[in-house]
Amino acid sequence: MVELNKILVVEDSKNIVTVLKICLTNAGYEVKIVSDGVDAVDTAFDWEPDLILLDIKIPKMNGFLVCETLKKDESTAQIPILMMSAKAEEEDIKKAYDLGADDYIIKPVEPSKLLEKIASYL
Amino acid sequence: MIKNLSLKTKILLGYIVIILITIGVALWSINNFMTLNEAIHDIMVENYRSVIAAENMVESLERQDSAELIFIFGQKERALNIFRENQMQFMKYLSRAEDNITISGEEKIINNINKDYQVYLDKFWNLRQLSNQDNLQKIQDYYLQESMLQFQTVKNEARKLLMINQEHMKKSQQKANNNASQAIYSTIVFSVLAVILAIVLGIYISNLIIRPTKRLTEIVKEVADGDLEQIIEIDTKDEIGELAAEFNSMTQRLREYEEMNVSKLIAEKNKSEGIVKSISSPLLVTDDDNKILLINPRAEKLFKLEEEDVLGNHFLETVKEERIFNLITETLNSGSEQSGKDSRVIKFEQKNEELYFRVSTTLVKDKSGDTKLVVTLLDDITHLKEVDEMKSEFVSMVSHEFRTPLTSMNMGISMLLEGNIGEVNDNQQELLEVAKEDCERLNNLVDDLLDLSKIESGEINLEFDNIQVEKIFEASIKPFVDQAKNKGVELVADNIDDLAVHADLNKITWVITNLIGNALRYTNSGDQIKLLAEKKGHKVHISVTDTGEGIPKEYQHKIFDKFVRVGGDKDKDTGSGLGLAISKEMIEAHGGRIWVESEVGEGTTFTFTLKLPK
Repeated sequence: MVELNKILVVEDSKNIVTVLKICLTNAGYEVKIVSDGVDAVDTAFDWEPDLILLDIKIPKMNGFLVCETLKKDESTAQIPILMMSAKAEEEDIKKAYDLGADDYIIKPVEPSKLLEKIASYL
Repeated sequence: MIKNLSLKTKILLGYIVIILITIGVALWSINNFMTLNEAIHDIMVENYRSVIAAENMVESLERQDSAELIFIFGQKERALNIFRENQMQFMKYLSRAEDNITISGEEKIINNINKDYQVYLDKFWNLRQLSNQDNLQKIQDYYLQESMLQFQTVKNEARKLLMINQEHMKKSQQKANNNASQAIYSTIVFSVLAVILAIVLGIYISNLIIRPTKRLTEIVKEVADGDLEQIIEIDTKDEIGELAAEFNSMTQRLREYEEMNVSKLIAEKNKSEGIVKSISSPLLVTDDDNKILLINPRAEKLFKLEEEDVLGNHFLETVKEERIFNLITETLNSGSEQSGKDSRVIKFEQKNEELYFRVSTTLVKDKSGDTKLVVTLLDDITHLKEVDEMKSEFVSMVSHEFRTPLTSMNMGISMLLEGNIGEVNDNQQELLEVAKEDCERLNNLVDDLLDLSKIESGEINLEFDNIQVEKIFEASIKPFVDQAKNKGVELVADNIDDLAVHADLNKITWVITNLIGNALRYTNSGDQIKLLAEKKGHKVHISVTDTGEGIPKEYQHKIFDKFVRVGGDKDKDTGSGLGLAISKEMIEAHGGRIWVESEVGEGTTFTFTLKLPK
């Protein structure tokens, strides 16, 4: 059996989580969901995902900090991080890229576009 | 005493005195003439008659003597005739002299003559008696010893009478001469005195009239110059005194009237000042030299000043607020009222709190238009600003909160529509499409709301640059090329030679994109949408013109308000109703202006202005 690409979704909105889970599972990815920053970092180290979908506004530790932490650690630095936000502020986008994020997705996003983007990083 | 007389009486009195003097001079002259006349009368009448009488008496006496001699020599008859004739003559003149006794001693002489002449006549009688005896020698002797001697005596007495009268005549003449010269001198002296007295009196009466008149004139002049404190001190009871008293009562009433007016004015001034001071917003009044004329307590507090220190001083020396000063000078120069614009909102930082004031400057001209005042009112809008910030924060928060559910809804619907989750039938497909469209619309609304709240709260940062208009047009048209082609609408940009503006490319592109999007919504196949740019003065006018349906007049003035849509087109409109409001804010943030010209059935033109490159 072919090993599925593992995607870690960091998102605290229950409904978005449901939608994303269906969307990604349906597209043939193995999905793990966490709802706060601390869990996100832990899971990234333990589970070693192939890609991380990271919401910025999450509890305990925000997306920027999670991104910074993971990109600074050698063992997780190569994992593509796609940051997600409802905010389309230029300074936020710039900050995300400065911290090493690979892409910045503005919510709401078309599922097909999201899948296209994910595919391009795998 | 004389003060209490009327002017008429005073003048009359003056004339009466002068008339009395004239009468006095006349009487004195008459008196002199009479004295003179008396002297002449003395000479002419009294003495002259006596002299004539004396002379005739001597003559007739001598004739009588001759008649005596003739008698002696025999011609008795002839001699007696001569003698009698002259005797009568003598008696006639003697009685004349007797009738004219005027001088002392004259009577005695005449008595002597009378007595001696009687003796002389007796002696002649004796001589006649002797002649009858015919003794010539005896007669001769008698004549020589008696008659002739008696004749001599009488003659001497007559001569004496002549002498005394001649003497008296001389004296009288001397007296008349003296009297005449005395009369000349005394008349001269008297006349001179009268003239001097008349002059003095004339001057005195003139002064009596003129002095108070002059004083009256001087004071009337001073009163006319505005000094109402003047009182005329003329206490005479005449017409001038009455006039002065009337004048004093007139000035008194004027003074009362003025005092009344002044107190009215002061009351009005206090009222106005009270009103101004009770205004709870800071208020300043400056004149056309920018000197402070009035400052209310709230302004004193705001600028940390004391009224006494600032009044009459230059605005910049005391208040030191250059931003407000610029607004004041602008108003003073342009003459137009400046208020309400957001560019006139000024921030003050005091005691760690931020205060916002909107500055209104109003030019006040007096009727003649000479004096100009600028009333500067600072409207405290801090609380409005706070409310505004709260509103922006609220909108921002709500918008973000909308995003999360919208995201899940949108993604879920999209996945269903894509058919990845499972087949959907036609009815399901249609329903999902409706849901998806409204999701997008909500999303756009949230986007626009966020944009608007950002601009309104001033969070938006404009990145100014000098940009070619051509570049803006290119970027604006690009997203609509396909849509326009599909709809059959011609979308063209005018040919602009090298025209550039000073603006934020993204924001202006957003505005034009919004305008094109609107135009596309109201145009049909065969219509045209045209972009134009033109330099006018220091500005560039950019316009988006379409040949579409046009906007009814009643909507044109409120089309830039939030959530306003042109009626009847609601179904067609999928916009948020905020696009033009945002466009307006953006253009105004650029220092420009946007307006619409439209004719129903003919089309619409939106025009906005931008600055030329710096």
